[in-house]
Amino acid sequence: MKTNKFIAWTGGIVLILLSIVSCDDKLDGTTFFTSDDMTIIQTLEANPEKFSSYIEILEKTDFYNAFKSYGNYTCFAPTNEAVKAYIKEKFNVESVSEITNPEDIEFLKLVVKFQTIKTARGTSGFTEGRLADTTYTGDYLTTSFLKGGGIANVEINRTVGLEEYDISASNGIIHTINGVLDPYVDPVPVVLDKAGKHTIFVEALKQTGYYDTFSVIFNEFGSKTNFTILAESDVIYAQEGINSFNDLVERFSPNDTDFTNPENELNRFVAYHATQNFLYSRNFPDDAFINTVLTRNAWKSFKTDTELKINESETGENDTWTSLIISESNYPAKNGVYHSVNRLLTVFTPKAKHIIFDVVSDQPEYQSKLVKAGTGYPGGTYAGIRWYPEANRRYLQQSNRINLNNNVLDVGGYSWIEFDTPVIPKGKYEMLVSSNGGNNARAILQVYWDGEPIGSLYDLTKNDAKKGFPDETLMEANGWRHGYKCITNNAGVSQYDTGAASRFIITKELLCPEQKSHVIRFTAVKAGGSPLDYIEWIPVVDNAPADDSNCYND
Amino acid sequence: MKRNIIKIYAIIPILFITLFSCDTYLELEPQDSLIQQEFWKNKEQVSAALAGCYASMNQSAFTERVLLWGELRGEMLVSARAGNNYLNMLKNYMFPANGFVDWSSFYKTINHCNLVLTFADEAQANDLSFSEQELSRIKAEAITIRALVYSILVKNFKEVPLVLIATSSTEADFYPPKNTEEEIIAQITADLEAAVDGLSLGFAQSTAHDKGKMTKGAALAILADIYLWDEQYDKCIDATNRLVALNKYSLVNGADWFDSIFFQGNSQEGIFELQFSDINTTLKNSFYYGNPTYLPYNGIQQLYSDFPDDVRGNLGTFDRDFNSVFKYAGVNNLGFYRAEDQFYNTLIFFRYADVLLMQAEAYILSTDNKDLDKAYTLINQVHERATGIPLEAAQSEGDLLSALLVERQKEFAFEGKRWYDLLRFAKRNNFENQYLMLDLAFEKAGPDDYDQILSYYTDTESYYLPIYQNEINLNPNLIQNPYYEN
Repeated sequence: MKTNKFIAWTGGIVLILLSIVSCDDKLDGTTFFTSDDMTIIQTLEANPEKFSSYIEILEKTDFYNAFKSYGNYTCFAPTNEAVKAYIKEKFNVESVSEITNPEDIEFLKLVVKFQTIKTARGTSGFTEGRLADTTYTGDYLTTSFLKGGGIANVEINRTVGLEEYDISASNGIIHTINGVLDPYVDPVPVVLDKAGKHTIFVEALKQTGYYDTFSVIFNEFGSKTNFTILAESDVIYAQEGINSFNDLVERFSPNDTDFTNPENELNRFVAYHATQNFLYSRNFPDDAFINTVLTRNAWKSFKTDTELKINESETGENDTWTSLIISESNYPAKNGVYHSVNRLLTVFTPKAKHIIFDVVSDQPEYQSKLVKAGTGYPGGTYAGIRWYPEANRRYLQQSNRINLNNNVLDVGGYSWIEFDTPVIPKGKYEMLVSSNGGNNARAILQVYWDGEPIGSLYDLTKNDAKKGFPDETLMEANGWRHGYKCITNNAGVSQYDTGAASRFIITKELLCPEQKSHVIRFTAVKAGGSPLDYIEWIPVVDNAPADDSNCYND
Repeated sequence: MKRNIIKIYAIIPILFITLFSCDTYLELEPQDSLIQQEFWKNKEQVSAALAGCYASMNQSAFTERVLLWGELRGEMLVSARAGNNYLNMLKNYMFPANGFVDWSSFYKTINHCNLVLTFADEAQANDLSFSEQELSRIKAEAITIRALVYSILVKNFKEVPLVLIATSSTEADFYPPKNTEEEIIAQITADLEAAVDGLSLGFAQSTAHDKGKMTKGAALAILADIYLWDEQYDKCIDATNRLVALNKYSLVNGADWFDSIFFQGNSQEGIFELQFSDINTTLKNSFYYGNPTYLPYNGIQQLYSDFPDDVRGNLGTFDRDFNSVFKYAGVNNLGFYRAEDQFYNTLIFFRYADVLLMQAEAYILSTDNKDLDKAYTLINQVHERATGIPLEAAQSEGDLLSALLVERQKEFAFEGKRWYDLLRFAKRNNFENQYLMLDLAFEKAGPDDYDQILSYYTDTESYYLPIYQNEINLNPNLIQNPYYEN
């Protein structure tokens, strides 16, 4: 019996022990993370021999916790040596801890914001030109491959090189840089001046008063003014026999020294060198006009398979054009960018050509990302769009929209809205407009051209049957035309196959006796939504039907 | 007490059962599959393992790299719908995280070969019907396959780990470091020189066997190719001469060029062509005309324009109307195309025209055996076969080399050769002809990205691929190739 008890006892104890041990939670006291990737801060802290100084700056400027939090940043992280050299130059100190002056700390905040982009950008997105997103200071960083050797030799803002790239962290991506990116402070003319290669052109800017005009950083509405300036370097002038500012005067305005007068030829020459569009070399359109600061004039931009041609002469033989010297172009500034041209850029009179005006994408405010999709902005936000009565207006952009550049200006509930058109060369045109139409909630509009009513009513409520869609002849008779085959959404559905996106023919005979920018106004006869996509002008060729075979996709 | 005794009697059998249970009824060896100790017992099993070496090359991960590593970086193809990794390769923007540089499919094949080489002897000792001769043939085939794979790796990476022991035991080095280019090439050439004797001249069962397995001809072609790559021109001449002396291969007639070599496959010109019992997915996915991933680069059509009757031109290599790669997707010169389920193409590694042109190149560049006339005759053989018109006699060695490079481009367009041709020409005399690479930027660039693409082609180290980041993470002894250190 004793044995029995012994067996029972031992068995019992073993069982109890087993249950005690098994209930022990092995994971007790462990904190769980949704990801075991390191954050940007953890990654930087894991390499103090490289980043301790930058971490110190982040702590000092209160950005330390931001890089610990959820997000998807691009962090350009300067190495310790880079930080040391930078603060020595800027503040004449040896270590970050010596910076105590509140003003200097404010500047350091600007520096950190300037090294940080809101979205993660790996090197695969780097191009010759600007990056796709702005920094937290609202500026574009540039990347340049001109040194050769691929990614390893890329230069950021033409000053700083990459040491290590594409280090991924859970809340973004880190690129180690061998210098601190100096925030843009100077406007374009000052940057041009400091570069020192364009002394004659800079002198012309000063004498004509444009030095100050182009140096404005915030315009009266509070939005940023961009200038893209094409400048001839002294070398290019020398090829034309212009060796001083006086030679330039001699060439363009020998008998008139009133250089600040807008009618003065030198003044016009300088004004023609700038646009308020924001264009790095790769942003020049494939085939379009770019309005210049010189009113009623434009650059003609045309890209072949291999080359950008500005103001190609179109004579058919021995054509000439101007192009950019890439190694001396894409230099960023606080309010724009400058490029060096490879020959004298004189005022150019283009021939009539097919112009498509995307009422959203062609606005400078859109190009400099001052406006974003879906948000309403008050009147005055866009220099080239006005409306009445006052209300916030927005544009919509989604890849599934069957629109040029997938965006429309989502206007509605207005009495009128008007646009400054691109500069249109002298000639006779058909004028068409495309919006998302085809239902009863849409507007019926009367179009005004420079203040005069033109064409029949633009009735956006018309459905496919009333337009005659898809019969081309019937549509033409009703005053409508198919949309373009090349304008599609992300699913490949084209405007051509979409009745609602048909183009309305405002007029088949629009005479433009002189080259200038016009005002086109849409006045509501019946109020309603009118998501405007684009307006176009097609040159009429000697009573032949207008040629709209060109397909636009930019 | 009695009851206790009963209990004890009950316990004893239980004890016995537990003590001996581990013997059979807890058998650890799987019942439904073969394990190593039971394999490698006879000839049939070794033959099956050798078939596995070939089959491992049959995977799209392998064939896709063979084809596209040789084409994308050159000026041959443009993308219709290629993915990001491929788009980056098209502009030679390579980085270690690009999965397309993963070499694991190549090392799988190498390991299959190493297994055969390690265990075949054991099997032969076990199987009386397994002759010495058969053993040496099987081993020679495995060695030749391994050499072929290493020749592809060395041309693409320059330095890779040389793994010659099967990873079947703990003896294998699981963290092999890289070997130098010299060591790898020495191993390839020594292996092949030794294997040639053991290999068969051919296989009579069918042309698929004859062209699809490693033969004397295949080994000599690989050998010539690697000698040429390594600038050992006299040895290249010797290897090609030995191949010609086999009297087994000849050029097909010009009229049959497309049909015999590409549509039917396994032509009299073919030396080693990978066989597919099913669809050749790599060629189908790349070139099926209903939904191609790649289209010919627009300079391809011009390439053939000097000789309008070139059988390799329209409806040979490409289709002018559809701008498609016709070589693999087409059926005949009426412009008919293969349907999606008809891509039973072979994948050609070497054919006789290649051997003739390799020999020509060696005759031009050799110091001791330089013979420009012979070289001209060889180039012209390939040229005249396709065009019907003799090649204009070249004035100088440089002209002859240029003519050769163009002839190779026309003859082997889309056959996974172009990039290696360009690199081989460019790298001679310490990259004397680097312009061949820099010119690619001009061919590939649009108005916006010339400087960017040029930048990707400027560093001579960038002509070799990076080691895939995963491999670097897993193997502490692997050092990333110089251009890609980050």
